[in-house]
Amino acid sequence: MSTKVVIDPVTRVEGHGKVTIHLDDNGAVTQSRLHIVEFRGFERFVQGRPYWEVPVLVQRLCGICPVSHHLAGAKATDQIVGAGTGDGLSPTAEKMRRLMHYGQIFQSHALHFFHLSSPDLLFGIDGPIATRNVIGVALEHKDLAVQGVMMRKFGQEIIKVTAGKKIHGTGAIPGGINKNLSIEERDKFLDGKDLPNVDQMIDWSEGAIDFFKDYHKKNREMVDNFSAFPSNNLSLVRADGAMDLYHGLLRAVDSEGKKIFDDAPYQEYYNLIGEGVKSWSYMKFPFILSLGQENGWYRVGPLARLNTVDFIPTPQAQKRFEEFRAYANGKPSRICLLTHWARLIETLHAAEMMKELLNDPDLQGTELVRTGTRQGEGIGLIEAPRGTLFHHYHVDENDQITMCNLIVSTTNNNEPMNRAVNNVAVAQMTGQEEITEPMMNAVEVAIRAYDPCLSCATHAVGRMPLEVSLVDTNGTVIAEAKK
Amino acid sequence: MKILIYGIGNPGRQDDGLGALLVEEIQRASSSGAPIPGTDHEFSFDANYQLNIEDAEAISRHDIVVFADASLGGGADSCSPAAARNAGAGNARAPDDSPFRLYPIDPEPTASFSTHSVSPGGIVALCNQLYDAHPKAYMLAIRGYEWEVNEPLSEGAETNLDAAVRFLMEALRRPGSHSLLDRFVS
Repeated sequence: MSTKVVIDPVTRVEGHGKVTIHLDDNGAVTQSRLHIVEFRGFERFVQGRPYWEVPVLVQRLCGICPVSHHLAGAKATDQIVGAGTGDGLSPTAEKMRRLMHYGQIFQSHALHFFHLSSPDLLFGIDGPIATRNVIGVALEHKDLAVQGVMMRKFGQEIIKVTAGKKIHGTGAIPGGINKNLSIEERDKFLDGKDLPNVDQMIDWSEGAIDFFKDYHKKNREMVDNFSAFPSNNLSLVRADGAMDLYHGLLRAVDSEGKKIFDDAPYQEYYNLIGEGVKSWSYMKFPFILSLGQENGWYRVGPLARLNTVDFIPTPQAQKRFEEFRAYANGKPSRICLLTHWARLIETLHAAEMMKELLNDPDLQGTELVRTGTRQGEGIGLIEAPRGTLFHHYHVDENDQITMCNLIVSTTNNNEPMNRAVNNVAVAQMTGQEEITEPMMNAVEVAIRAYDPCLSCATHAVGRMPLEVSLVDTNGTVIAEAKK
Repeated sequence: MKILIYGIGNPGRQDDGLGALLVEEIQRASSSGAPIPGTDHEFSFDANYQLNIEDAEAISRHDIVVFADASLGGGADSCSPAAARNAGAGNARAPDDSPFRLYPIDPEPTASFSTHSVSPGGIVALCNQLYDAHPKAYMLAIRGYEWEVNEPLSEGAETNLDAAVRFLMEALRRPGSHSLLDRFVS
């Protein structure tokens, strides 16, 4: 009798996901799917609203990465007010937004590593479930936990002074920003009086990379073989090939590093990217049009970005990038768990970028907004912590939004997450008579590597924790677990 | 005594914003004088979409913390609408018609964190572990009804918010020690 395993929902990710794993009569995995059970609604909700509300309105999409939506939405409205397509803002406006964005990247990546990933690394994927969480980290690795807390706090404080407030920030507006950074605000991050300063953030980021490298060294066989599979990779890159998480051109490379497209303005993304659907999921399956849906799926996020860029434009992160690339022999990495390594290199890059920006006098400039000839369409892309985020709007002559299309990072990673789940299920569950908690956690570890935010990906209020069930060919659940 | 009032939720999702709005209301009501007129406590206010690990450091610097959050059932056990949603409509507890409920938060030392956010008990446990600080923590759960991607509170939530604000202002005005709020816990 064949069997189906259901994991519903996934722990330590956002939103509500359900994993179904089918086993045949011999206990072999025949199919695995990550189901998204909520329904999209936000794209309809914004229709009829005035475009200038977009940067604030979109923050209700997600309580995890509101800054990314805030900035992608603001970039789209820049185009609508005629402030160019990423190159028309004043230096003060662009750099304030960049500081906000790198603060967001920094705190989000720090949170993922210390809160969501380090328990698996410190206690093992099959470690005791009672301690495999951030409280367990606090009990046994207090210094590491305190670093995580303070890195997260540093990023949040950067967001607060650039976005204006934690909830529904208003810093980015169509054509620019609504405030600059005062000297007093700046010095809080440099003098180390109220907070560990930005140099400390850089040092801790280096330490986190060393922590992961040490773990990798001790667990190389497991890490390198855990759900490793080739993929295409997509991200924004700067015109000279550098990593740029705020703005750039679209580049896609295949699993060997060969460019599929390059130097592509993102305002024409719809000529490059299609959005497929599958009957069993409400979440779309984006793909590269020239390759078709079957072969054109791709990864986004930290691993994909380190696979697409030519270099990182900050010295310490560049050194770490060279180590990373050397490990993959200069080719794109296909190792799922090296996403953690990539994420930490980006954490270091974000810290270096924050230091550079905090010392830039343009942040005290007074030209905050630029506008030009009004346009009827706006497209804003940004490299959010979890990957490329697309915002696209049409507006009518009354300034009302008539069309909205969003492709969020987790949606871009839909197909690779499904493949990751299947790979782990095959490796862990084939031929097993009993589905254990460590086996289920292994499936979750693969999903968590992508740091998905399913609530946002489905544009709906999320339901969160995770369940796993086994179902036979008749549809009968024969085993089930919830967390 | 240092008291932190911390609102949790997303005001862009209707009644999910009850906690953050309570903080706004109290700040607005006291804008002309001391944070809470009639007391000599030192108040701080904060709000965010969700609690997270850095909040362990924030609460460590206070004697009393009052988390305010929306609840599907008056807060009998689910302090957040997220938790209420997790239960699913079919599994939610029987509705509790109380407009709000105050209850103490105990540390959750073995909490299994299911999302990017952290539960109030998890924050308290982290605070205990990392900073050796033991603030008294409470949840003021305010009943909400609508959770759509929209802005205005539902009519019922508006009424409950008013009642919760009045209650908390009055409770905090009363003289007391570290057990300031215990007498009100239901």
